[in-house]
Amino acid sequence: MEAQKIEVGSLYDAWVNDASVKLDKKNFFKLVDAYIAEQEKEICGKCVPCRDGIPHIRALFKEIGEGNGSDEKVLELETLIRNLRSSRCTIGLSVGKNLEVILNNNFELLAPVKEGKDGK
Amino acid sequence: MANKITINGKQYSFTKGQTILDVCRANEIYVPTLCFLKDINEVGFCRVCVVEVKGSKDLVSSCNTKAKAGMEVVTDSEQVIESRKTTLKLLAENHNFDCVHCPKFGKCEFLKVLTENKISIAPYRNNPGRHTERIEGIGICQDLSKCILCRRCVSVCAKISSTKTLKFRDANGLDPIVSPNPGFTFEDAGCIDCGQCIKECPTGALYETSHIERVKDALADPKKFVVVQMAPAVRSALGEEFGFPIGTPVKDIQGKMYRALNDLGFDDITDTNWGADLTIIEEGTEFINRLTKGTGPLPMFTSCSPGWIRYIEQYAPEFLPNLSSAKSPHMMVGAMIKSYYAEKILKKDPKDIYVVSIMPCTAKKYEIARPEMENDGYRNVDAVLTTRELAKMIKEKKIDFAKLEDYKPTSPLAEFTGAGTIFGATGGVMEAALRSVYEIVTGQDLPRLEFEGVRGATSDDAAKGNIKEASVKVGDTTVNVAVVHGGAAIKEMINILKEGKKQYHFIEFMGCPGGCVNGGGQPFVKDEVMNRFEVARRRAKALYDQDAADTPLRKSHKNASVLKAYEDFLGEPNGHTAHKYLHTTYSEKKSNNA
Repeated sequence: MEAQKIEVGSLYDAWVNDASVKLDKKNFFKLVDAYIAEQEKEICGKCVPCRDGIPHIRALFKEIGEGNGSDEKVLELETLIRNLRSSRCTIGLSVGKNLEVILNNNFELLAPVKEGKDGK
Repeated sequence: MANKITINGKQYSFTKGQTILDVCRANEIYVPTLCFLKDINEVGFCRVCVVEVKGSKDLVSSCNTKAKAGMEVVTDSEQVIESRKTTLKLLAENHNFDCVHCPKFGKCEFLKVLTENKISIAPYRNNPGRHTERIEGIGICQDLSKCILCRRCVSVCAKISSTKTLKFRDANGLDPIVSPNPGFTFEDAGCIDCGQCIKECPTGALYETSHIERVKDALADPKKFVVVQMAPAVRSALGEEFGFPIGTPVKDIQGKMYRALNDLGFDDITDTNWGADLTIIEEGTEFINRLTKGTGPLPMFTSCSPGWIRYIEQYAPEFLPNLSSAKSPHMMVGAMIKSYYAEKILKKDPKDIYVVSIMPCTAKKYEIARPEMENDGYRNVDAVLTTRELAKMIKEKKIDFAKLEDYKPTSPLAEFTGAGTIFGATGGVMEAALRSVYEIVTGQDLPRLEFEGVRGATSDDAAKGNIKEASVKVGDTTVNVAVVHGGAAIKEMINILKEGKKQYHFIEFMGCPGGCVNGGGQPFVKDEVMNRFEVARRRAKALYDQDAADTPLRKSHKNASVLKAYEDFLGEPNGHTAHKYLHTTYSEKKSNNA
């Protein structure tokens, strides 16, 4: 399985079959941002973890991707993504699960950036 | 395992239909809530009440997840606590924490939950809030910077007021907004100003239009002679603001209330209960005339609830001819203060008199602004303070309410009967009217004064309002009456009347479920402390007990000072002068609530 051909939206399903599945490193932040942007259109606005959490998550990915990461931001990102497990409907729940996979399998992409290095 | 659920490793019994939250609350297991309102808003929007359920990787909202036999629940795991805190922080990021100037200062449920969960608001002090718009209304205002989108007000507006004025606008899911129709104030958007949304808002996003400053200005003006009056229901709840239990007997509060008003600097104290007795004479006479002489359509509707008036004017104008033309009690008192009382008793020029009404109601603020509510060029009432606003003024002046010695006003316009007192509870106006109508029509004493059949707040389903019906033999006529309280019940009764399936002679309508005791201006009681039905029932009981035990006279037409007002000024009930000062007109209003 070639990691770069996997769409973010189907990451979770792919991950169930192959836990090593990873996103294309080169375009990692762009892919994640595009995925979240697409999912934001589906947000119904009713529950807090999804409505207020997902835009926050997107902003944190952006900051980290631009080289402005920090330990606190990565920690906050993890927490907000985990919190999507308390979402009211499948939009927040599925986004959360996909993003959990991203964190689990691509954590090293966040690490250099959080240390102030160019991880892009 | 039947009907047993395990919570935090301990087994608890539950009954069919109970949610996890129900079981937790019944067993004093802490689970915070924000959007939850029992039977009204069980939508699981806020996700603050989430818990772990064994077998599910996702957290579930305890407020709307039914307990099941064998279910294993954890309310205090690391995951639950982290989620709860994260969600609360997300809400805090979009809330304006200008707490000191907030109308809910000291009573904010949101801040309480944040504090309980050790979320500091320091990082959020300068938040502008989700939206910065303020909607300023005559009775109700909204500060969108405080809204946490819990949807409680929307559900209350739909299920209790029934007008659906407040809407959850989620066209943009990332930036929803709760408000009346855009561009309109509450009054222009179909609101009946009942204020039930204010009571249920967990923050200060919804609040009554404050009249505190205008009252303070009047009290500070040496040229103004400030006369105060207070509605029956105020004394059933004011004590709650000062630590007295809900339902404290009126005799333990009323004297302190008068003393507090005296200490606040009001020049004279009258009582809306006196106006309630006057209302019964006027409204009762009008009813007798419609019944016996056909002077107007039947059924006749009561007209003392301004929330109800706003409902009929906007949503059922075809029934306006059925409405009694009598003003509400405090408007009658205001009109009488600036005419009869000013001339015959105070010997003052009405232009120097300023009338303040203490009301359990937010719609009264709208009522005093109606153009019809003036006589001889003077507004009948100049300001309305809610029970909460009065309590705030008492606290601001550092008056130790609980230690106040009783005071009894000397004004004849503060003398009242038990019939006036029970106006504050649903069914009270009808019961008071029947006591007088019976005796006036038959010329005989009533064998029994209590009409339990029309006492609405005593029934179990009164929390959301309901309809009660009774038939009363008055002389040779069987009078069919009904008592309707709460917007949803009003809507139901209007439909019944439109269908013409039932024939009534007299119907009491009140905009708030439970009547004025549960008005939108009454002290806040959190749902978890006591459900709203029990609150209304206890406050109503305090009024009925005062009527039964503490007030010697129990019939409005026996109120000597009211009778003297007729003798010295008004003439005949429903006569020319009475009509000029004590009656008004109503008209169809556009609602802009599509």
